[in-house]
Amino acid sequence: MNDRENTLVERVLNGDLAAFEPLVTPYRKPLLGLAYRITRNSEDAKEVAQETFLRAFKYLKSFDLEKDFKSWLYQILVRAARNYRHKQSKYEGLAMSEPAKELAVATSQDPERRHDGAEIRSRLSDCLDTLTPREKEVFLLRDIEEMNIRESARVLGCSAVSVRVHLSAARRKIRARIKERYPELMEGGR
Amino acid sequence: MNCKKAERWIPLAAGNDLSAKKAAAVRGHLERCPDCRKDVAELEQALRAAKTLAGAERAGDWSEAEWRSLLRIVTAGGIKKKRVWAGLPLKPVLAGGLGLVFLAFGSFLLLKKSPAPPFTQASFKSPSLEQVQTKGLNDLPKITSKTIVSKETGFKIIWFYNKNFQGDGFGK
Repeated sequence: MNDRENTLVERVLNGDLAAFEPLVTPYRKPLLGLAYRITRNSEDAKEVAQETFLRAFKYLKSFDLEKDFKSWLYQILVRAARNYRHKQSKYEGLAMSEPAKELAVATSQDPERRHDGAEIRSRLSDCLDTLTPREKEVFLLRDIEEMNIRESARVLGCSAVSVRVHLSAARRKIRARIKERYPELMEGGR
Repeated sequence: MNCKKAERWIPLAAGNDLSAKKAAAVRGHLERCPDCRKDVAELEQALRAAKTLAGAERAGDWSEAEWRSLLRIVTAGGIKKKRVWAGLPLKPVLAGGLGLVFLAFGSFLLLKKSPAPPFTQASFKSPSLEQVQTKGLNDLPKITSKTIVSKETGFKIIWFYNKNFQGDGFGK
């Protein structure tokens, strides 16, 4: 529960649409970042994040002021990403479009930096590709976004036990992949 | 705690996701078991590596113009306020009201329709034997009937039923 956010939510609900911007702006980058990590594609990430903001505005009146606004937004984003993945796989026969050019490195003009970014991205993508969709969601929320188990369970709409089970599996798979393909990272490199 | 049991908790121990009691039990085992200690150390290193990779990855952002445009699109519809009537949400009130109107109308129609007249002997006239003989059963007004014929004597009993399925019959 955050008083500032609750005040902004009430202002938006009372018709002050300008209050929506300060309400969601702090989450603009984190949401886009999580969307990108789930989809591994900048355009898909933008679509998912945009859908998240649209739904957040549309269903703002159903937001419970006793609950955490950040978790609520993340919950919407995870569902939007699932729907998006479902649509993609339905129309393209793929789970998600292939990892593509990202936003950030494209903006960098330094070729060395661009190369580094692409390498980091491909390594992380490679590790995340070993996980099932649920394991990936759990791993990203708990280990990358650093939410606790209960928050992650709330966002994913499952039990804490389920989160623990998937998290254990995800960590073991990530460890195996890094050890197998990027042993230099295990020795504290990079 | 043995290795097999510890193995289940080690991935969670590596990320500090165990309850204090379980964490203490796992720590106790790790002090005695170098293999499991190595397992935890590797998991911790892998988690640190994944976090480093994620931290170094820049997911990008919308340009300011794109962000403004997105906010305009998002808020374009405005907030639809819940319409209320006498302090109650309008939609359920309307639905309930309409339901009541339909219920009242249905009851009215049911009551308006007169009930079936009570059966009396006078109100039911079965065709006479002459009518049956002169017109034949097929030419008589449609009445449900049942004919019983004795195989030995050929005596025939015909029962005619009214709409209340109360019968009257004659024999020949």
